[in-house]
Amino acid sequence: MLIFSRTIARITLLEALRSRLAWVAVIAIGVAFGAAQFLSQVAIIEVAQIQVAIMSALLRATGVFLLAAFCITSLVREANDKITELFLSQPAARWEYYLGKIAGCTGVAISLAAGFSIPLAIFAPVAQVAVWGASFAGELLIIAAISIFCAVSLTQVTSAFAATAGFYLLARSISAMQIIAATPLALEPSWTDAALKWIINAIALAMPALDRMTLTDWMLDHPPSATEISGLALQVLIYLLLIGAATLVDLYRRNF
Amino acid sequence: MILALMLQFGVRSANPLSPPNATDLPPIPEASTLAALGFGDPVPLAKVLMLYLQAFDYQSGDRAPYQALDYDRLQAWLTRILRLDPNGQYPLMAASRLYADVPSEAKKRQMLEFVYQEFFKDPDRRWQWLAHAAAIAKHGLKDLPLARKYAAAIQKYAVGEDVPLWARQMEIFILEDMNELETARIMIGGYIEKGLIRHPGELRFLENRLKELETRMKEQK
Repeated sequence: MLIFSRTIARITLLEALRSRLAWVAVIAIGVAFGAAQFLSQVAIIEVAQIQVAIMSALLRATGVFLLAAFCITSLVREANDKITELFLSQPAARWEYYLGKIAGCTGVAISLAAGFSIPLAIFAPVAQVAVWGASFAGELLIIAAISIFCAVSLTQVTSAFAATAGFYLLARSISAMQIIAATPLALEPSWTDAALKWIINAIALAMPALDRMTLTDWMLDHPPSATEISGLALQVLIYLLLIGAATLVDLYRRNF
Repeated sequence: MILALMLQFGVRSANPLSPPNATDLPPIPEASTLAALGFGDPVPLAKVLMLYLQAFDYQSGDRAPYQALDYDRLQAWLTRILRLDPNGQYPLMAASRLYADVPSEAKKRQMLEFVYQEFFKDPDRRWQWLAHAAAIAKHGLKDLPLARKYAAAIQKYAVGEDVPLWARQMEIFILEDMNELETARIMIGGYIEKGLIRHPGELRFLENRLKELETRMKEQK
């Protein structure tokens, strides 16, 4: 059962291992640690908090970048080398190929989230770091799904990466945009203000709540409640289903 | 390649980076812009902004550091950073310990007032900076009524278990300095009567203080 998917997942994980992704991640941890140490040298108080905040922000951004780069280049390279066609010519459904690919990228995402959480446990309580790490894994899962979708749809590294980065930045800043749109400068808002507000609210509805995930504050002061955690887990699940369905629609309609 | 590298070193050495001057402090961006720049996680941005702010005139070597800063602009920076990270203590520490430590009385008072206003938003966590402000008002400004105002705010609003007794009793000592012995006596009596003092050593200390006050009051009569 699902032998084909398991093989694809294993190949994806092997590719991650052989593309020295782990070494890049280790170097990223070292750089983030160094940057945090450097900035904390000038801090008078809250040294540990500053180290956690700077390390977590750098590692989160690096994790997203590494995973998106890996997923996109992996799929585009397979497509360019006609390996995708070879896979799809096997007696297996296209959804099995997708399932294998997303499972492999999930393995990479979880490994990155776990690896990037461990150094943070030096400065913050382990339980709170574990919650942050789990949330980071969820965030990376969404990025993996989006990266695969963009790579399948756009077929070019540059455009797929730009689209994924744009999506991530938009998802993380959409709440701030909603606040900006809700408070126009003019005393009497015009129809353009109302239209802008409506458009931004509509975009926000379609975006995952990434700005509520993987917050540094969870490690410093306020860990999330069980309700918050379950809400975020549900958000990850729903978005994986949504993007997975969109990718499958594109995968099935395409002639290879 | 070596020649190009030497040229690069030469160009960079010819334009060394100078530390920022106090007068270079730019206005802080709007709160909504900062919220967008934080990408949903404002705490790291707040920490970096605070360290950036501190870099202005920090190592000038001047005996009066921060003197040249525009304090209205500085206060706007501190306020926005606190909005980004309400649990952070750094902006209030900087206001009470760094930016209030200037010769200008007006600037000192502005920072103390800032600490006082921000204290009410989270008294149990921010009391220590107001206690420091009370000490500056008492010793630096020699303004005992102002020091008493700050101490009274701590006594009234900082009621958490982590708030030490000395902080809540600051008002009594300031009252003594103001020679308002009767009020101080009533406050100490109230503490003892209400059973707020549980530690035997502290209780003994306050009882002795009460006796001293009563003796001083008799002497004055």
